[in-house]
Amino acid sequence: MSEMDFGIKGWFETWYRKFFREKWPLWIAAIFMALSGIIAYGVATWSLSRTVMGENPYDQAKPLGTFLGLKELGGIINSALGKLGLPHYPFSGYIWPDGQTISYFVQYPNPLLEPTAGTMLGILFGGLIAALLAKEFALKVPLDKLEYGLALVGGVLMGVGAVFQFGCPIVSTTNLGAMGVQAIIMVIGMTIGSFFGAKIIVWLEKRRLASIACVTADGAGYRPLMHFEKTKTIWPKPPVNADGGEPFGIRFQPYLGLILIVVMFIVLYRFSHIGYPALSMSFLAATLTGFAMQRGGMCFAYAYREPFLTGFADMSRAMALLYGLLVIGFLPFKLLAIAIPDISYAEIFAVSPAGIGVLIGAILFGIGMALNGACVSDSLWRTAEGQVKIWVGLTTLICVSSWLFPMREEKWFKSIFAPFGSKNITDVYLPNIFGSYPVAVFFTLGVITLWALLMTWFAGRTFKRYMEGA
Amino acid sequence: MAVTTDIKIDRVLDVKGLVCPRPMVMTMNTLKTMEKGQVLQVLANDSSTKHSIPALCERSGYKLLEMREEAGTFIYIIQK
Repeated sequence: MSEMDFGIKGWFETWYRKFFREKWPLWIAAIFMALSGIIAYGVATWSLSRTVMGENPYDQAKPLGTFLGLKELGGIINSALGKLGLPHYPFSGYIWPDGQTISYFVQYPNPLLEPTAGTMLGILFGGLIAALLAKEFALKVPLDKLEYGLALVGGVLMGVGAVFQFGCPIVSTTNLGAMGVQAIIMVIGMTIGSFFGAKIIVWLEKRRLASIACVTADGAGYRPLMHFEKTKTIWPKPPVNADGGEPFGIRFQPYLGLILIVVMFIVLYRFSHIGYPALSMSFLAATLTGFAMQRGGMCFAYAYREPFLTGFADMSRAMALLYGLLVIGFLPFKLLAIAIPDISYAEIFAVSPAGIGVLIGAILFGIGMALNGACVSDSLWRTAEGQVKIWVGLTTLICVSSWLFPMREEKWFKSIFAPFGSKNITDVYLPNIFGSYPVAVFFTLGVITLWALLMTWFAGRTFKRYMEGA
Repeated sequence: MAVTTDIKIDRVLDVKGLVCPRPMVMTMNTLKTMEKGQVLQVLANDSSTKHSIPALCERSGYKLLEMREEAGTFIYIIQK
């Protein structure tokens, strides 16, 4: 009996370690992200059919994205600043906290009912659960001013870029799966922006290296070459000596993770029973995305920047796998939307206008995410790991994009989004441009493959140069 | 923090508190300045290094002699 117990315990520990403690291979994380993205698209299609049939109009799920959620969460922050008598920007459309909300595009009884606000919180929550189960949560405060400088500048550039390009990398992921031209422009722009961002980082690090005296260890003991000590761990406190073992704050984390999972299911069960089943499922899909991102370390900023910075394209290829799986995975829902006229809008979910504005925004966003070290969705799961620097970048991004959002109503702004002379978003939908679904699918998959090959080539070139100089 | 006694460490790079991509860039830059056969110890607390540093060693031919975690600090011992 005791042997059997030991066997079960050993089996459980092995699988727990593999699934919750060790990092997942990137391709597995990409498949999990694709699955959650496809589920989210399916839930959005289903919620559209429910709305058509007169169900709760606020229970509108959307495919994975974060852009409008940025605006909503920014509005909450802005209103809170106003309530506290602190400076806040003049474009607030919210009355808070009395529950009455005047949103910019759609009116919701509560800003958190905006579907992508829920998606953002879902990714954050998924990342938090994954970090806790892996005992990787720690409140880390960098003391290095450069880290905050990069976060602030990166956050501002991403905030401006998000408004111009109408989204962030996870929006481009969904949009690419949906075969929108916007996503292709975003991918090109973010690649160009990341190239420049990488060059800025290389320049900064060279300056930093030159300013640090290098001391070699003398063999008698440790003498740091570059000891930054630029962090302060607020919680959990590390043990005071080598034999201190794991502090309670680390040992307790997996149990806290399990408690949060149970609480999440209870809350979502209740939420779905008061008329929000679609938003509940959408939140669950976003949680799975955040979980997979944290476990695999999936990072859009890394995928776009590293081929130019350190010469690695493994993340770029994983993202290309994600893009490709979404193109194929969205197809059944698109064909369903074509067959059922009432939900025909589901065919062009996530397809947005595309023009020169998207390219400008994507380049700015690419530079910003390279400097900040994370885009919106990356920031969410890394925020959940307790990286305070990332909090600074994310909050800046949210506030800037929310503040600039009304700019989208300006005439000049609309003109740069006119999709190649037209104002109809179906004109930037690849199946309409080609007049054929199979051609659009193969074209999109071709673009994704070409991007992955290009990033691999750039990575090879960068790494070769590094090894030649090493 | 436990110290590995059976490996002679030539240099230590402490990048705790720095966030991706700087830990990886600084590890690469430091290795670049070292002689072949010398050993570098990297201390980091950004989880991205769990992926990036092993990938660097695998690709460059540097030997990852040790990789462990102590109370939230990831410790890598790399021989150039």
